[in-house]
Amino acid sequence: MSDRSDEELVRAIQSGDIFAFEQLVVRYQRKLQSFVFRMLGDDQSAADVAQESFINLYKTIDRVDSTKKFSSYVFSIARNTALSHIRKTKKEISIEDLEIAIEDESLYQQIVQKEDAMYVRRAVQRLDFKYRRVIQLYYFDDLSYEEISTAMHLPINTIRTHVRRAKDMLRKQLL
Amino acid sequence: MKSIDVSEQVMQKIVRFEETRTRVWLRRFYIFLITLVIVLGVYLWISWKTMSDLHTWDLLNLFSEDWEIITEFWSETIMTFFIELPAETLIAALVVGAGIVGAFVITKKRRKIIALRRTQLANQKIKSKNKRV
Repeated sequence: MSDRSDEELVRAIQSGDIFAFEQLVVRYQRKLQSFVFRMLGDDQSAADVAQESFINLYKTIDRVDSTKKFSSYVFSIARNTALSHIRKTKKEISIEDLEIAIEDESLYQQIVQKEDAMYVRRAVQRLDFKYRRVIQLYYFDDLSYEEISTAMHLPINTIRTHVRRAKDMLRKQLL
Repeated sequence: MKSIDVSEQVMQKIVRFEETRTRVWLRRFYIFLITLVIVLGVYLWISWKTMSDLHTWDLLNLFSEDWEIITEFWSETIMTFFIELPAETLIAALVVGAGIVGAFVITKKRRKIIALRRTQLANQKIKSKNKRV
């Protein structure tokens, strides 16, 4: 399995490397099928929709911004493909299925939020140690400026400056 | 839920899609290029024919004469030559020529991508042939 990141694979595909896409398929097919299975209810339909989602993804890959989070894009395509599939097969939606579809909307949001959180954590890991430490203490451990100042033996204004700079760096990475 | 490996089917469909897409793009590009080349050829031929009818080429015979004659009449001859040039068709030919160059420049990146894809598709075909053998 390739060690290349999603962004590197997307850039390679956009540059003409067709078979870099195979690595993305292998990477995402299980997650995608599980996600779609909850909307459709059977293995074969989930596999078919996953296939179609990958084809749709490949056809639109030139429009993907390789600097932005790729996984959200993948799941959004899968969701839209699954919804089209449901409309095409014109299944009657029972109340139970409707409840599952509504629950799936929040499942979709949960998956996107989880991917968001991972992306933010990776961005924090890329910061310099002093900024990373301050962000972790402030946002993840919920300490106040005074508490961080005591823990890191630094003046409180320095802590404020570190937090502000770290936020600017994260903003640049994430946007 | 049983997860089914769809990677092979997906890649087969993508290979077919890419074969069609690159073929269509190349066909359109060559048709566009050949059309421009033909139009350029037509304009150049019209220009040449016009100049032949006006005997403009005969003016250049001056340069086969003696050096004294050339030095005396060269500027007048050159001026007459340029006046007799069919400006409209030559300008049109220039525009078309610029279009041909522009087509190559603008599509440089795209052609590189297409070339890489074609190489990969060709290698894939060889691999499949060898597998069958």
